[in-house]
Amino acid sequence: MAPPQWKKNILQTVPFYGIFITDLIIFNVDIQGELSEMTGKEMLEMLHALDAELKSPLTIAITGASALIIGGSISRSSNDIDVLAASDRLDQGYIKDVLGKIAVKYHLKNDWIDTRPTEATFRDLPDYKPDLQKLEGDFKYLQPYIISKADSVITKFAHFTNIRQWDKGDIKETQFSDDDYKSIRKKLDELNKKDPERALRIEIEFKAVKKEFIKTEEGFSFTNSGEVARYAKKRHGIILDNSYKKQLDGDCSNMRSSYEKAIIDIDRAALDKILKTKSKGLDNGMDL
Amino acid sequence: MEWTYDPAATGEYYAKWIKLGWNGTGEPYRGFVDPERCIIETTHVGRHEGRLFKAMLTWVRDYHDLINVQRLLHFIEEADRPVLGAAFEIAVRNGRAGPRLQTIIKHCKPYKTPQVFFKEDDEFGVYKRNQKEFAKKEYLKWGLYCTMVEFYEDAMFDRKYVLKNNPLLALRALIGPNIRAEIFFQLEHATRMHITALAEKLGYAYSAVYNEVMSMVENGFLTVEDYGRVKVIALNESVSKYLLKMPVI
Repeated sequence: MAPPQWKKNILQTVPFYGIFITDLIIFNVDIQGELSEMTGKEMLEMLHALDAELKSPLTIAITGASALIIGGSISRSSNDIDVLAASDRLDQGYIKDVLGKIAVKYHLKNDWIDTRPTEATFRDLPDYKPDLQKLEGDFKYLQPYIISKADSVITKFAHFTNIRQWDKGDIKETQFSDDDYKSIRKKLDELNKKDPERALRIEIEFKAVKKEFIKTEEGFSFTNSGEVARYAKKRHGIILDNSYKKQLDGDCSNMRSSYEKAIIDIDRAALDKILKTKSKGLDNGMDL
Repeated sequence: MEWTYDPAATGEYYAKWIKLGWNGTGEPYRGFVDPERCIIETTHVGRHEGRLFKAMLTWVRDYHDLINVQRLLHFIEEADRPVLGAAFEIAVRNGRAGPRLQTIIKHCKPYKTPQVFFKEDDEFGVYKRNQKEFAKKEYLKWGLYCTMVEFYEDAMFDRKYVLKNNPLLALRALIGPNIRAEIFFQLEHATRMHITALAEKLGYAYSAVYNEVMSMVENGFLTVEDYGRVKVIALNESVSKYLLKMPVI
């Protein structure tokens, strides 16, 4: 059966950025004993085991913690590999049998390739198109991709009504480069056009974990209330009065507060404004 | 009850829950895991480690029939009782536990001043605010702000694993989660014991243990030996052999 159109979109239209993780790939490794949890290295080994059993090309996009684990961003292990999209059905036909065979052989759980994240992600982020990074290796039929770090941030925080403690931990542990931050900014701006509430919530959650993301337009840390006021006005149309600015400078010089906290407070005020507008919309503009 | 969180001990709780049946990261605990104590302690440590709380929630939902309610009640003062109440109520609602666990829930009271369930927070209070904003009603009634009502649907071992790795739970599965199973288990490992020592070890009142022991002696499961003025109890030899060969699924 052909994959649904949205899966094709992800796999075909998104630019690929190849990365090499050759140091993680070990060929012909005989795994001893139980393997219910997989490290990044073991996940790659399982992908190679899958490749060896395939009879036709299969492309998969790996998401969730597995993408961060395989990419070497976080050190923990997982008992499954989360798949966001695949070029073929994984839950039927010979591929299903192959996955089951590997599960038995390596003592993995049956759904070690887990497709449940697909539904959750696209429920929160309809038509979402992540950047995919190709996993290089000696694959014959399998073409595995992992979503980018920026997309990990977006997808992990998109379900803002239930942000799990360990999801925050995963993002906290991940190291982001300036390019990653730029990519996150760009993705948030795109999401803001469709779903401003979700975009701002993701941004606030991310800033709370990664202070490095709280920067002026020029890419520097905020050092005075004037810069904070400029951010508030330009970004959210919020005007800060002089007494607030004076108070903020005083609090920051006395270490009672910080400019980063002020930025998050301003983002939160902007979010409250969005929520207020939203609830008015629901009530047909009537103040209840 | 005051509880000091020791991050270094977290791994031990991971290992204990893995031994009890959670397919989590790491090796199973090497020694005996006391399920009731593990539940009580996880009401504290689980507020720092969400995965441990989720493991407990799932375990209680799936293996509630192996919990010794009387024994848990004996230690209940040591628990974070609003957390215990919330966990058991969620497990009961989402599983097939009967009214048996209601006894525990009835002994739990909510926090008078609500607090965020998970202790960890960022320096801006963003996480706390999120938890308050989207707190689930299941926790609010216990004075807790928490958004997580989920289970490890795909990461729990089956009963075969649970009973094979936890002989006490296998005994409870056979006899029932009651004082008799606890006595059998203790005597299986300690050979001979005085009733006072047995009662202390089990965490039951002396009178309850004494009455049960006498009944078991009458039925021929236990023997009584006199050591001077002290009476010492032991497993009947054939019962001991039977327990050693007890089939597990």
